[in-house]
Amino acid sequence: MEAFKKIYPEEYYRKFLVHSIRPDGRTLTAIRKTIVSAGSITSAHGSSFVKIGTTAVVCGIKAEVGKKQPEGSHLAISVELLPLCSAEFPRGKPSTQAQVLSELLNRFSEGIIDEASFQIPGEDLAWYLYIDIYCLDYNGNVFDATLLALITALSDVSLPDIHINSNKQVVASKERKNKLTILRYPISLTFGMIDEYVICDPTVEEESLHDTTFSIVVDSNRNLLGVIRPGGGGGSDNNGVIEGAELKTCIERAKQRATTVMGLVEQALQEK
Amino acid sequence: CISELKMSLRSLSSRQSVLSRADGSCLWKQGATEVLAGVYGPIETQGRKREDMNKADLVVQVIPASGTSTPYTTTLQHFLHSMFKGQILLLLHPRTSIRIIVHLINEAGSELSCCCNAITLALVDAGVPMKSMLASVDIAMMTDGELVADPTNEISHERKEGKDLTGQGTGDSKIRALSSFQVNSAGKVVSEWTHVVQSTGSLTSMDEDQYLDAVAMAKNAASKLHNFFKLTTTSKCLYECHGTAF
Repeated sequence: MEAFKKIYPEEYYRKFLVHSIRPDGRTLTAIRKTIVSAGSITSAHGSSFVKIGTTAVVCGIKAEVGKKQPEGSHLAISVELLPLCSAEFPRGKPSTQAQVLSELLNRFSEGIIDEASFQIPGEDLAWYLYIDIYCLDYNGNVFDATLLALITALSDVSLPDIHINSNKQVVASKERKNKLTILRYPISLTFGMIDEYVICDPTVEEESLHDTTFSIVVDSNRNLLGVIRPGGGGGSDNNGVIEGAELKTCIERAKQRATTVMGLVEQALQEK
Repeated sequence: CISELKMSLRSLSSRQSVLSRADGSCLWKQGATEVLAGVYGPIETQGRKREDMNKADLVVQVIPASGTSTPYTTTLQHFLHSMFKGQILLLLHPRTSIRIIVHLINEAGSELSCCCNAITLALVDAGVPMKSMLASVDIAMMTDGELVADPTNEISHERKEGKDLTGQGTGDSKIRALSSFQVNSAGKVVSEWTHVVQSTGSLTSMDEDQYLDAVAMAKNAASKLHNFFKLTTTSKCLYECHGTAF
């Protein structure tokens, strides 16, 4: 059995799929247990820790005061896939995947926070948030985990009051009680495709066997925000193709996932 | 060979075999956006580590108009790599490397689509075996329900004010979402990148019915692009035939 799995991993996997089940016992549409917690890093202005199955992601947000700029984003998001999380990421230059994740998260975080939250009343200054997301354990579906960690950490952010004293220095109050006004919570659900099967929340082993992976991003109010489907390899002509009714079903699943996940986020913020 | 055609897309222009050292190349223009794609392969891999016993190693590099690579160009690379990994018959050339280099000469909107179209023709020029040719088109979904195929930067980056594009609308239309669809010769959408575009001051979201209309429009535009691909590759062959007749 072990030999069969090693030599023919795809065939081994297909033998499970035919019975609508996966090697880890999940059905094709089941998502792994998701744990969300907020505020674990006290030195940061906002933080979160998310686990989807064994995929673990931590997010820390540091806020800095800077001169008000007429244009440009107030968020700088950086995702790092540490060598710690998987043997496939060596030390050094950020991997392609980390850069792609950073780019996607920057796009989906545009406009989700009310501009007024960044303003510092009475001064020509504004808040700039430096968001660092680290993957600690890479077991598939990192996009969902990082996006979830991002919105949880943003919800956790508390900023102090700022004023400039007589020595022209920036002084922050000891207390941090200003929360960000978050207008939208983008939440994603990632699927893998192999043959004609569409599989939710793949593990890293499954991802390597799948023809392609795609993600649907929605918000907590059931609005569709995006579909990321890079296409991929495989034998048949219909690889990576998903349209019409099937796509609608996936969008519906993503919306259900968003509702469940928002519940977890709210719980995490209350328990803090 | 040079071909030019005007469609409801911006005017297209394609020129193959422009690079003398590359196995295949294509200089592709959609309106003002210009992209040069070069293909090397199948050739030796760069180092033993990249050699795969069963299939060719596909490498894609995107070089921006100015500056060094950014997360945006890396994302374009990643997308183009995934797209073409599914179309090129990598299993026919094991232990080799197929390298695609795309140079963005002028970024004036719809860059992902231009890169994909240029790469398709460059691969054909190089004689790399593929399952299907990929035609790519960007579609902008506007707040007044209109769909614009092959949008310019003006449309896709227009956030602050609404702009009347056709001269017939209410003059208040802003972009709400931008999609890039890649369609194969069988008319199936094999990949896409769709995301909402936020305008300052208001939260936009996608209208799902408009999204499905955009998919249909993309297929329509793609079939026109496929016809253009046929035209450009056949005229290239005709040119070569005439050349030897003399």
